[in-house]
Formats: sequence, C-alpha cells, structure tokens
Amino acid sequence: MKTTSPQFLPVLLADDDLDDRMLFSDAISDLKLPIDLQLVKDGAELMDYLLTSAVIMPEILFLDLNMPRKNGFECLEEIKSHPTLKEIFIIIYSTTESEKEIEDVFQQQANLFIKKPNSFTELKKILSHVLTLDLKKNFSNPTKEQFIFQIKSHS
Amino acid sequence: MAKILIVDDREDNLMSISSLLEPSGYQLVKANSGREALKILLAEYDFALILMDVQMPNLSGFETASLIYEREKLRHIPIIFITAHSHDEENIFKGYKTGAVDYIYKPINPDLLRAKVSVFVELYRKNHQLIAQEQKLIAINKNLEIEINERKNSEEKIKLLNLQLLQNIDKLEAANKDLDRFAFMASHDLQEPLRKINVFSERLDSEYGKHLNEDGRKYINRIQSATSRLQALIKDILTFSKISIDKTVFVTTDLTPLVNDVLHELENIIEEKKATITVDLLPCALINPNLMRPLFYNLIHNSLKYSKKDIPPVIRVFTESESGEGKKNKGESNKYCRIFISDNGIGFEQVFSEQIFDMFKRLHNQNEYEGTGIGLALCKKIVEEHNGFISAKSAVGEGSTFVISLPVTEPEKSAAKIIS
Repeated sequence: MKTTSPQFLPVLLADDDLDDRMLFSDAISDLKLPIDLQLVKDGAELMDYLLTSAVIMPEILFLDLNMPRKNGFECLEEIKSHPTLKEIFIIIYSTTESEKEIEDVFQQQANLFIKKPNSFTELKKILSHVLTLDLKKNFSNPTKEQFIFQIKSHS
Repeated sequence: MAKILIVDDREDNLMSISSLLEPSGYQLVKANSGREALKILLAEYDFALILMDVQMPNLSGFETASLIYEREKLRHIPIIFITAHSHDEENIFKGYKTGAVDYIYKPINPDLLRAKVSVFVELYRKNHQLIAQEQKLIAINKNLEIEINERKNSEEKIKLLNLQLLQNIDKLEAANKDLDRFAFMASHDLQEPLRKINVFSERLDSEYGKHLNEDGRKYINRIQSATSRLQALIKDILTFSKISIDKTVFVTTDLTPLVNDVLHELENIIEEKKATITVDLLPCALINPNLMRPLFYNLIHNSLKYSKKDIPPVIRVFTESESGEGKKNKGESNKYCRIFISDNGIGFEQVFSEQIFDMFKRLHNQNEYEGTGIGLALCKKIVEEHNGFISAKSAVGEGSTFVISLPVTEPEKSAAKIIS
C-alpha cells in the first residue's frame, strides 16, 4: 500500500474494464487534483480491499455495476449494510441506461450516478466538477434528480 | 284414377257393382274367384280398395283376404266385405292394423256402397299424397343434412385455418420479439467498444493532433464523425427494439401538454431555424406517454430538418376526430382520432409515402441531411403499438403532412388516470 499524505483525498475505482481504469487515472492525473487513486478490477477484489488490505479507507468509491465475480449491486448492498463501510461516498460509474437499474441503486442508497461519458474531455470535466464539490454536504441524501449527475445543472 | 278390385263368383253381382261405381270414374278390375283375385294382385299392387264377396266357392272372401294380407305389399289395401249377414269370422280381421276393413250387407244399398267406396278411395288418395309429401320431405331433409354436413366441414376447415393463422401470428410475434431482443442486446453491446473508439480518437486528436499534418487530423475527424453516426444509429436501433420488449402501460393523456413538452425539448433547433409552430387543442387519448413523446419528437424534428433553405419552417399540429371506415356494428363504430403534423418543408414524392416508414429507408444523401433512417420506422412502430396507423401526404416542394390515427377508446374502458 502506498502511503498517502493526509491532505490527499483517497478515491477508489472499482471497474473491470482496463481502458476505463486507464482513462480514469489519466483524467485524474491530468487534472492534477490532490487525489490518491486506488484501482481494483472487480467486485470481489473491491470487498477484499475494503475489508482487509486498505490502509486508508477511501472517502469516495467509483463503482462500476457490470463486473465479473461480484457485481456492483452486490458490493453496494454489502457496503451499505456494513457498520463502518457505509460511510463511504458511493458514485455509481456505469454505462447503463436502464431506468430500473438506476432506480435500484438509488434505492440502495448510492449517492450519485454518473454515466460513463463518450469523451475524455467530458470525463475530465465531470471529475473536476465532482471531486471539487463538497459531496457530503450536497449529496448525502440526494433526490432522484440530484442523484443522476448532469454537468449542466452544476455549471 | 283410383283402381278398385271387385271379387265375386257371380257375374251378375260383378256387373251390378260395376255399374254402380263406373259413373264415379274409378278404374274397375274384376275377378270372379279368390284365386283370380290373388293372381291379379301378384302383378298389380296399386289398388285403392278391394270389394270382396264373402261367400265364394273354394276360397271364401275371408280366406282370400287372409292370403292377401299375408303379403306385405298388399297389407295397406283396405277391403270391404260384401256379405249376406254378419259372421263371427269378421273378428278375424280386427287384428290387422295395416288394412282397413269394412262390411256392406246384402242387399246392397247403392248410396251406402258409393259413399263407403268414395271414403276409402279418398283415404287412399290422401295416403298417397302424404306418402309423396313424406318422400319429398325425406329428400329435402337429406339435402339439408348434406348441406349441413358440408357447412360443418367447411366451418371446421375454417376453424382449423384460423387456428393455424393464430398460431402463425403467435410464432411471428415471438420471432419479432426475439429479433428485437437480439437487436437490443447486440446494439447494447456494440455501444461499449464504440464508446472506446470515440474516447480514444478524441484523445488522439486533442493530445497528438498537433503532431499530425492536415491529412492526419482529417482522418481522425472522419473516424469521429463515423463514430458519432454509428452511435446515433445504435441508439436509434436500441430505442426501436425496446418498444416491443418493454411492457407498455397506457394512460389517458392530454396530448396538448405532451406536444408542448416536445417543443420545449426542440427549443434550440426551433430557435436556430426561426420556426413557427402552432399546436391546436389536441384531444386526450389512451396512450403510452413514453412512446408518444418520441413519436411527436421525431415527426416535428423531421419537419424542422427537412425545411426549405431560407424559408423559416411553419409547422402546425392539429386534430380532427372521425369515425373509421371499418364500422363493425351499427351501435359500435370504430372511432379514430386523427392528429396532423403539417409543414412547409421540401416535401417528397408521394410514391415514397409508404417506403419512408421502412427501416433504414432514406430519400436523401447523408451529406445533405443527416439521419439514421430509423426515425419514421420508429414512429410507425409506436403508432402500431397503439393499434393505430400513420400515413403521409406530400409533394416535392409543397411541404408534407403526417397523419397519426389513434383508436378512440370508451372512457369507461380506459384507465381513469389523467396526466396533464
């Protein structure tokens, strides 16, 4: 485990897609935000990381939904029913357009839903918005409208 | 003419009975013994009546009668015995039900004889008429039976064909659904790699574009525009395939605010094209708003897109309610409410008015007007999902009018909810 200075925001991305992990970390480093990013490549590894090997508990978890071994829905449920892990701010990061899936994760108390964007510029825009907001203050009890993230409503 | 057989051993009796009956126009056959009578009856059965002398040598009248009635074919011929006095033997014939039996006592009263004979002859005639009628009836019945059987057979055939048709329709619907499901899955999975192509070509452009010459940058642009076109295509196929997969929920909805919502969505392009759009008061209809919105979106968007250069689009959405042509019962007419979307755009040749609703059918080059060729196919599918139909009228340079016809459902049958 990397040691991180306390002013760095610990962020975790759980995504089985190699390209998406690369794009995500490239975007973070391009933005030069004070962020310590950890990557896990599926739900099982995520739970393993959170429950055993994490040195610093992530404050924000970007969670993909469609993953092998353990999917995002299962992880979300486990995390939100865990006494300490439930404090993690969870951002669903997925390509899904299914209203039912979005409603499900909303009901499961995920904090924000971000649809994977179609361009790198867009991704950087979204991340710079999200990661500079006071998330805990703005989204700890989001309405359904706030839940589905749109850059328009925040700019 | 009724035939009567007269049996008497005495010629003078035969003569006198004949002379009594001849004027009535009967055909009289004479026999002078029981034996001869039997001989005649071997060849002829069609006697209306037998007049039989009882007292005859060798074979008496009663014995002759017994022999006659032994034969099935003769049993229906009534016999009048002519006798001098009453005999106990008269009772012998009471058991015969088929042949009517009567008696005339000597000396013969001519009026009584004529009366009795005419009664029996009349009976015979009536019987014959009845038999003839019965036979006719039997023949008619047989024909009817044949007809009924034929009808039953053809009905069964029709039923079978109907059943096969229904089964085929079911199969077709299932196949269509499978196809849609396939299209949905395929297009859904195609989106992922396409998103990557988009993201990486954009990165390539923004991060390394400066190291490329003009051609290189042009190629990247081509990749990007092809990608976004493919994305639009996949998105439309997804929407199209989702219509039949998703369960549609119909609610009575006021169409006026729904269309106004759509106009709101189209704000930018309306402003850009300086379009004038009027929406008349539209009716409420039992529809799925989630499908009806893209329907109006596509149609109005088309009107905006295919507008004449330098002439601002004028679009009108209006209605007219009318009874459908296919009236089923007198009381229950199939009502359709028709909604028109008319524009002053470039129009198209009327011959294409049906083809334009086909999947991927386009009348214009991609360079002239962008499009996936799915929009109107989507519109058609949406309208058909509502058991309605859509048509278009147009001429080149004359604008076009699209007509949506939706069935009007009785208010009590539809959901009571009203969304406005």
